[in-house]
Amino acid sequence: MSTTESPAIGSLDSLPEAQRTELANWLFEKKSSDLAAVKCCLKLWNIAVTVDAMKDFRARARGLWNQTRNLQSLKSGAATARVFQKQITDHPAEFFDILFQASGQAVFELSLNSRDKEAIKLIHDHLRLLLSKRKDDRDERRYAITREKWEFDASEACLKQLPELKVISDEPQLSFKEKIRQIRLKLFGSAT
Amino acid sequence: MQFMNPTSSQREQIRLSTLRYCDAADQFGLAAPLLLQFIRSEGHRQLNRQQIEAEISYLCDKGLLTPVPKEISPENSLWRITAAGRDFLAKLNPNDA
Repeated sequence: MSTTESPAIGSLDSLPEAQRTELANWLFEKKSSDLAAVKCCLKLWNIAVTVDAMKDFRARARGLWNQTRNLQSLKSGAATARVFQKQITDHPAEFFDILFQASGQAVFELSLNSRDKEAIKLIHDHLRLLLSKRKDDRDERRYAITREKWEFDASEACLKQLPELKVISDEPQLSFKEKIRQIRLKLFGSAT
Repeated sequence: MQFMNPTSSQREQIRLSTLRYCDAADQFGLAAPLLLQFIRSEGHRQLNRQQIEAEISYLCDKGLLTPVPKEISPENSLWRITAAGRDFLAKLNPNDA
């Protein structure tokens, strides 16, 4: 459309669907003022409307805009829930990891869509949780290495002292509890 | 504050929106307070809990919504769309199918 033509004085309701959607996008997604939207209409589409007409359009378009947004958020939530449900069913042992991943994804999406204080607090909380989980993961690996070393040492000690352990084991006078105590003393030096 | 009853066309809009939201939530269902929040955001700002529950009951009586069975806290009911509800929406918007 040429901008040299005189602007059409039009009603916003007669705009094609695509233009009404774009206008709603300016008003609600980009948070343009009524005046700014009026100027955009004139500049891009050569349509002159009053600020009051824009205000009226905003009031009527808000409901549909919110409904579309609500439906999108529900559909995306339901899709995530379906994936989550399948993962939990297929891998019940990984419940915590899957839950953590899902909550992280939700917080990430929130950080993209919202800048309010509550969202920022949630992001900080999740970051703290992430750091704490990383520490837990490191601790878990360290415990696994320690356990492996302990098992190796215990097996080695058993092998070295096998004849003496066999004597304790074969002693008929000793109760099972006492045999265990003496074997622990022999292998580890204490039985507390 | 005195709340005015919705007109019949507003009520129809509320019922349709309720069905659409429950359709979007799939098998997981939605609780009445969340539905109320969504529908208020569409402009029905004065709608209250009793009124949305009345509309949910209406849709249940029509066989378009049904409660989701819950083991824990069944008093916090969730509502999901039925096959009849999906068919109803599909007839309404044949292009969405």
